[in-house]
Amino acid sequence: MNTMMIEKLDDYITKLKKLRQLKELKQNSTRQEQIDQQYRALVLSVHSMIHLLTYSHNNFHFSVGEQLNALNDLLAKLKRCVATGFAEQDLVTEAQGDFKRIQAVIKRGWEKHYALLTKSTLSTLQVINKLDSALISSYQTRIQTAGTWPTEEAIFIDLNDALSSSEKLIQGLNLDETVSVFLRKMASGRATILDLNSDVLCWIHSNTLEGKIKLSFASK
Amino acid sequence: MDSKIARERLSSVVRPDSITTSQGDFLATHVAIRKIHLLKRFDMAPTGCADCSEAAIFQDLILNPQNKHQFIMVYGHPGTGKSHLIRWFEARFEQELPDNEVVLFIKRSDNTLKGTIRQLLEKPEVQGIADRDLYKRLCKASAVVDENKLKDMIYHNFIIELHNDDGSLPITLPNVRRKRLEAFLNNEVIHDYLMSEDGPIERIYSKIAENATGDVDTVAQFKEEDLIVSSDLYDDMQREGADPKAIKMAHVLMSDTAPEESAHLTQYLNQFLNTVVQNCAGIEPGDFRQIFQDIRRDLFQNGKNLTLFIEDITSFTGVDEALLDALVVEHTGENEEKGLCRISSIVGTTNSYLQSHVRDNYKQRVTQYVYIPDNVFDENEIFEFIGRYLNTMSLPTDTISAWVKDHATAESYPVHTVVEGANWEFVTIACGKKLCLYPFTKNSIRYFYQNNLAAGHKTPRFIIRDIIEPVVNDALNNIENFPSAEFRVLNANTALTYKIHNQVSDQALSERLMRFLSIWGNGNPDKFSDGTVTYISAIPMSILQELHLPVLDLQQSAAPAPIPAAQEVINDQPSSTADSDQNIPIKAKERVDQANQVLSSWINGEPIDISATMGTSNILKAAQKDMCDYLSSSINWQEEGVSVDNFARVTSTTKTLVMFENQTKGRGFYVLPADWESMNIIMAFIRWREYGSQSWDYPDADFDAYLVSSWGAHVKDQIVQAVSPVAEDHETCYVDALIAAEIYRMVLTGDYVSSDLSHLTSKSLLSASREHPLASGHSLRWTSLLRRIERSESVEQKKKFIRRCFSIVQGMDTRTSGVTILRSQDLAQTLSKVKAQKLKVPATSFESNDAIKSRKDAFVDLRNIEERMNDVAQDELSLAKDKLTLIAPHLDLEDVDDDVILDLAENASTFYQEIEKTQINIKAPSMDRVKKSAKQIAQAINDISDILDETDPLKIIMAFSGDPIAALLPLTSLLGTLEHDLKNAVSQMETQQRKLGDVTILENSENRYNAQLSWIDHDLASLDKLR
Repeated sequence: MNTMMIEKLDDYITKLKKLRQLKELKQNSTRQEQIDQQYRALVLSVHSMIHLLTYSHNNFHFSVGEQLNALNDLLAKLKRCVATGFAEQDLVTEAQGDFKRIQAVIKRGWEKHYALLTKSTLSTLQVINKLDSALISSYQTRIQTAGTWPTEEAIFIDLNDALSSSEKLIQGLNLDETVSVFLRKMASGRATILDLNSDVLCWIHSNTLEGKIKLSFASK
Repeated sequence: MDSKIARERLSSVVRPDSITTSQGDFLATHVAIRKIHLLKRFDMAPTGCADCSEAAIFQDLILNPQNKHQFIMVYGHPGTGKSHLIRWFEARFEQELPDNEVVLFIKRSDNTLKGTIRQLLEKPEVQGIADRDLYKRLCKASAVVDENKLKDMIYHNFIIELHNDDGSLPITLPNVRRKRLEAFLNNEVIHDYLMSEDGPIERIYSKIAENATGDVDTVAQFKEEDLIVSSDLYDDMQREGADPKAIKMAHVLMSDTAPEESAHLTQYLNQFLNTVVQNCAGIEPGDFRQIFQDIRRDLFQNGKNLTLFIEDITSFTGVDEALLDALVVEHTGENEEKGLCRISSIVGTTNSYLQSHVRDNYKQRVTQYVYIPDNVFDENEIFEFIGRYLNTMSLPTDTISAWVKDHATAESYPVHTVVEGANWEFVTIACGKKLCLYPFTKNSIRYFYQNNLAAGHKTPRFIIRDIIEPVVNDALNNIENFPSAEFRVLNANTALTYKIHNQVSDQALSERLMRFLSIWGNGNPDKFSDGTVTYISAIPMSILQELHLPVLDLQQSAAPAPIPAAQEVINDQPSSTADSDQNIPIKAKERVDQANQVLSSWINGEPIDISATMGTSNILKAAQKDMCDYLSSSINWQEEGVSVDNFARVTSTTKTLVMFENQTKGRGFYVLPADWESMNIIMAFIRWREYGSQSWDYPDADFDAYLVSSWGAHVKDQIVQAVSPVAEDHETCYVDALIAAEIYRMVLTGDYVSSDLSHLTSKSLLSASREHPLASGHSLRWTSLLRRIERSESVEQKKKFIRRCFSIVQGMDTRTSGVTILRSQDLAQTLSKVKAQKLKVPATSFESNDAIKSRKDAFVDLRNIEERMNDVAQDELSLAKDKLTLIAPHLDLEDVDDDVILDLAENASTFYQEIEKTQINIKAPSMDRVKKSAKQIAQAINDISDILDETDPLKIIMAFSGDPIAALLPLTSLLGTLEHDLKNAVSQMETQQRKLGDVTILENSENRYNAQLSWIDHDLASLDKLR
């Protein structure tokens, strides 16, 4: 059989083909890693946001409305990104864009929802701040930290806790309507001696707040 | 002649120098000269002068009746008889001299300066002069000086004189040229050259050395030709590293202006001659003058006068001017008080010496010039001259002496009793005396005078030396073979030659007869009778019988007219042809004569030179060419079995068809023997060219034409045989070798590719060679042999030669006719024979002694091929094995076909494509050659495999004629490249593999996104809850 050189050549042809495949694999893996990283980061970000959404929804009744569909689509897209077995750059990049848009909308929605959620509490805390400034200020800070869409669930937990504690404090002061009005006017700098009615004065004396309220001339 | 007496007397009578003979013999052989010219002024070659007899001159001048001062110069060419005349004057003078006259005869037998002075001092008249002993001592001053030493002295004295030249001599040389000449003469090569036997120093030496033997008429001086420098001499000087000045001088002396320069230098150097000779001889010019003055004074005191006979003034080389000084001094006038005697001097010299050595002021003081012309004797006087010598030698000395005592008168002139030659011719001299001319005839004397004496030698001296002495000697000592072969026949009569050789079978005898009839007779094939005597070629039959020569049977002719009484000087031109060829130019006759002389010498055993392109040699060369041309055109070569090719080879060699026996240069096929017949043939061709201007239009041409045509027919077979190939095996012709060599060439070049010779036809043998690729796969020995074969001549020429061997040319001239017919059947037969013999010719053919080199070369060429064939075959086989060895590891040689080769090429292509894709740096070779020649490659592998065990060289080279090794080259080249590239590929693949590092991870990439997908699913579920 005349196969000596011919066989040898065949053998080499096979070896060359194998080598070429490995080379291609090697050349693609680095890039793939980068894409994979992007992909994984994106998936994680989406996952975190959905987790926060779930918490905010459950604890603060925050609802993203239409963005749920967008998120749904995004998740579907993220699945497609790795449908070939390797995350595809184009799809990943596309998903990243989608995520940023959704995130912006959600942020804006939260900010609105947050204001509504914390306005009364924060106002009350402001009025009574002088009552226990250190404590109330810490409540205020903890609530205000969650003013922008957080990245961590802990902020939301802290918000939830601060709001609960603040309510408890306010309720413990027994504030009637008149005192509440007076306090609000105090807080807004509009309270006058005229507002110091008996109820108010009684409430002041009962809570030993005489020394804590200062008088000043009102400007016109 | 009386041979008994003559045998004893010959040597004493026959002496070319008249002075050495006895007085009696001198007078007995003396022939009065009647054509002397008297001149008052020197003339080199006087003409139109009145003739004067010697007797008249003797009476009027020599006897000096007026007792006056005389200075007489006797001159003429060498050998004209000056010395003889002076001696005759002296002899007569001695008989009639007055009482108070002293005669001094200075001979030249001693012929040297010192010898001459010694002669003077030995005269009884000067025995009493003062200081005689002193003079004698002077003569012995440098008595014996070594020859070479003396010559060197002469040579270097010239250089000394030249070096010290103060410009006072008449001929001057600018300083630069003088120094160059000095350097030139100082050069060793030039020294040796000028000191050679024929050189000037030898000439001068012979005049002053006492033991020298030189030509008596030699003029001791430099000649113009002495200083001409030949290219060989110049080369020798260069080689010996000559002085630059000497080289410059030599350069001038070999240039176009050399003759003028040499003439000037010769004159310049000859000015120093006297001084040099005097220095070397130890004699001052004043010495000589003094001696003469003393002699004259002594004689005057004794009341005597002096008559001086000087045979040859050249004896006084070195002091000649001093001698002339002494001779021209008159005793009267202002010299009277010196007390000198009257001097009458008769001085002999040659024309040239007078012309060049004697200054004009001396010439003007010569009182009388006596000129002896050449050809001084008329025909009858020559007969008489010879008759007197023959008579004198046949007479006893006593008889001569008695006659001299009796005043040597004409009336009492003794005539010998004829013992031999009574039937021969006689010459009548004064007083009606008849002298027998035996062993001469008048015809023979005419012949010898015309033919044996060169121009300028037709003088008594040469008549004695070149005619009388040799002929008499031959007759005395060799009568049975007389005339012997030394006497050459010139202008032999062709008809006579033929008749002699036809009738006399003995070659020696016929040639002897030819000589006798041609020289002693009239040379014509005539036979006539005057009523009593029958003559053969004008020689009486009795003389032939006396010499035991055969009598020819010749056609009877009328007796010739009687010879007129009035005799003329023998004509220099041969008389025998004078009547018949008046229209032939004299120059042509001279040329034919010269050629005849050379041919006569040739048939007498002398070598013949036809190499020169001028002169007689050229005439003979032309005759030989004419003979060859005649034979070339007259022989029908093809009819004689000499093919066109063969004849072309014959004519293309340097050898001529005909060469002369004993020819000095050149070779030929047919050697024309040096005999009378050949001479006649050659002469006929010479006459055809010279007389007929290459035609048969001249007198007696018909006989020449007959001779030539009969000779052509006679030698045809020998010529054909001479040019035909010589081989022991006559079957084998050089043509076989030519064809065999051509087939070898065709096989080696691939013009014929086959495993056997059966397909080789005449047509393919003669068809043009195809274009061969520049590169071949053959072994070095193969290509070397091929180059060797093709180097000798082109392929076209080889084919042409073979074609010519089998061509018949239509037309008369086989060399120029354009119509040829191929004898194809003969060619096919020869080709079959060569093929059947497997391109071999018998070993004996190689040893053939073929006269034609190109024909012999055919065998030599074939042998060269055959000798190398085995080595070539083995080398080729070895090379093929090497190639197969290269292929064997890669291909199964037993299973090779074109598909296998194509598969290999395809695989290789794919391999290189993969190499390229894998970015491995290996250049892919082209597979085209392998793919295109897949069939040839497979065929070559199979062919070579089949021949590997073959031992027959012819079969092997035929197997390789198609160059299968070259066919393998694309494959072996590809395999080599592949082998190399595979190794290279392995190396580069390993490198790339290393760069890839651990590739196991790359290979397990599944489930990499499981976590993310899980989160997504979870998130999707979370979103659902948010709805």
